[in-house]
Amino acid sequence: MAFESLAGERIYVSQSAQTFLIGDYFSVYGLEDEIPMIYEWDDIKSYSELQNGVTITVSDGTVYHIPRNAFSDNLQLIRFRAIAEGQLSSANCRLTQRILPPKYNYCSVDPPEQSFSANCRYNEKDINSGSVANMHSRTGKYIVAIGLVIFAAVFLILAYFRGKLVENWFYYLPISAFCGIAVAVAVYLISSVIARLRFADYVKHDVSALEDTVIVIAHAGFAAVEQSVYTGMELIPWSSADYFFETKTTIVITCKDKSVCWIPKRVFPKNVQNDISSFISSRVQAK
Amino acid sequence: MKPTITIESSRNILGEYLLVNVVNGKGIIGICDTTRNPGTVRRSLFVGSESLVSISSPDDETSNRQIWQNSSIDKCKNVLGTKLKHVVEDYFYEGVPLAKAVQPVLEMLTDGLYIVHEGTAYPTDGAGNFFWNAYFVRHELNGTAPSIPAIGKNKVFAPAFLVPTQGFSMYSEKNISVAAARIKKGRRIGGLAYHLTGMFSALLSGHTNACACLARGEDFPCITIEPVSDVLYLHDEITDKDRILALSAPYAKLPLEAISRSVLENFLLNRRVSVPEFYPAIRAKADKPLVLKGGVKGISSLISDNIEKLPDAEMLASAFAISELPDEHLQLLLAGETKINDQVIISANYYESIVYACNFLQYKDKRRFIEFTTTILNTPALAATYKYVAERLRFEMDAKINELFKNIKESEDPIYVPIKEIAEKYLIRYHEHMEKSVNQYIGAEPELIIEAQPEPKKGKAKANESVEALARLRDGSGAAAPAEGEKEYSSLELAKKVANAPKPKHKES
Repeated sequence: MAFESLAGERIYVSQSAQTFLIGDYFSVYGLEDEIPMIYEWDDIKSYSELQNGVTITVSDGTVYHIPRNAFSDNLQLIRFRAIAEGQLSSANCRLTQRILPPKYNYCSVDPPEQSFSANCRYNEKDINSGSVANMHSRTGKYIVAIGLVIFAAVFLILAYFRGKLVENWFYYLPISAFCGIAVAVAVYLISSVIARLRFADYVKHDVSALEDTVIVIAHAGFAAVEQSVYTGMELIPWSSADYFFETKTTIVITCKDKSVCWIPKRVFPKNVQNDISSFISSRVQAK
Repeated sequence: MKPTITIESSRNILGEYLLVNVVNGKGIIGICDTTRNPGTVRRSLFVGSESLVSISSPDDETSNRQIWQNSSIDKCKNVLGTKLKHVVEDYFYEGVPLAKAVQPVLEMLTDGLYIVHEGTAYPTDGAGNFFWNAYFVRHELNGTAPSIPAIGKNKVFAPAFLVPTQGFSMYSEKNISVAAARIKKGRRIGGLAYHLTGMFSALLSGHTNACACLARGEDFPCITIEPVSDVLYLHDEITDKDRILALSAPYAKLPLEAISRSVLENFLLNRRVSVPEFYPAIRAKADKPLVLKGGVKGISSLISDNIEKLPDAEMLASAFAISELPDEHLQLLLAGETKINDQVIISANYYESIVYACNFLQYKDKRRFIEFTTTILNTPALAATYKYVAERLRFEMDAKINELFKNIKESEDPIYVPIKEIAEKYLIRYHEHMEKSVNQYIGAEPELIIEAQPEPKKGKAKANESVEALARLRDGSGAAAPAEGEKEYSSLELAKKVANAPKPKHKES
């Protein structure tokens, strides 16, 4: 569990005349309720945050919906997320794509004494670079495979239809290679465009993109948390990290649940950027 | 922002209490999470930037906790000033109403709901040891689980055992004599405590007063502040399911319908784990145990004698677990029954019922306790409980028990073999106790007074202070020692007194 010291949040939903109080418990006052329904977080069966708001299903089957516009501002939504996700596990959370890792990844640890830390606000370049690199880290081997398949297919087609393989293989080979490379490049470019377009999606739907973020890289773990909810004790342990990759502008750490943590290099002084890379590589496998 | 304190007065079967709602509290006094190792939860009571007492446990409601001292509250004078002392004096001596007297302390708490009440506290560790020097070493204590199995979650109890927050180097028999003299003059003295876990509270003020009450064999009244941090599941008749319907603290269970919405919202929006201003310092200090400065001190024999008379954690748990135990129920228990009219008397487990009954009676009704245990020890069918019962009888000085143990010692029945050693030790103790009683009767036994107490010595001599003070209490300088020419204790005198004393009666079974 993490973010246990954040003060609770009170959200009033005018459509359903319900008041939600979240803290150590999840509580709901109905319109005419004298006493609220109080649930322990263990009783929350599922929590999903989609574009239209937050939906919480409790163990007795009751479903509560908090629309996006019920939150007074972005800050309240961020705090709400931090408290709720800090109490839940990945198993009962369903979330839209985020810029920052979901809060259930975090655990409370000693305030890191020796660490690299910085404040930043993500920009398009950071996210694009990271996003493209992330996309290519996932699709790279498939692009190469597609290229090889096209190469082989073109070569076989030429050999079958044109014949005289022994005499003409010298011409068939570069033509096939060109076709394979061309298709691979085309797929690469399309995936890059898709990856870049996702930034617009993040900005549109993730309120964290509009807030200052604290980046921490410490012995016990790493963090990329909205400054408004960071208490100095939350880190994702290195054991949760899967691998990392580095681009010219960004370091991206991916977690086992597929969430990612973007670390823009620009927020750290130039003389420590290499130290950070080698520090991360000593703790998690590079890709 | 200025702290906002709202106070409501209420009452339950344990007595009157205040329900306090703190908003914008200064957060100087509270409990924070100082966990280091995964799998073990550590909480620390802090005042300012000092961690005073730490509690460690597996994350389980029914396991006993380890408690140890980290620091002394004397180091927090810069943030506390004399506020705690004034609270105690205002309430116990000046007679200021509780709500008004505790106000300055309430403002120093972290935000949340609290129960404040006054009751008798026991300056022991719940196992018969004097409280002030019992927590240097981290160890597990009986009765420290937040949910005590014997009492259950739904019953109320007063967390009466004390954990010191002041270093034992502040133990001074001179100061105890002064406090004892105040009691003798009719002044009311007491303490102020903050609930930690289970039946244990940290004494914030009144360490010397606790010792004085103990030395005089009197109850130690103490104001206890309990944070309300738990909830209680009750059966909801509308939905026919168990749901959270009350807030829970040891001293009071608060049904939700009895709490105003603003107070309840404050409870729900405040988190159990607070992060105080000096959190890193507190966390670092929680790693270190309190170091005892100077030589090891002894405690007054008046205190060590009286401490044995105080209830232990088991006794207190049984006392709160059982609401009443009429003779009819006791007879059924002795006959091997655990139910009356299909209702469980104490527990479905027979031996557990006997144990709880013994503890309950020992705390509530000594006469019936002695009768009940005597009957048990004379019933061979209950031989499995003999050792436990004999252990419970150990510190009760009574002629009937003396006679009983005499018979056990002389008995050749093999079922008494496991408790013969206890019986022999008891007979020796009883003899010593009688000697002391006779001495007191003839005026040779010391009594605490404050006259002619020399100032405590500094440095090396300080280590001997306790011994000297004890000697003063025992001989003439500070105590009601026999005046010159007055008769001292003699064995002949004792023999005469004992011979003239009424013969102890033993109930034959």
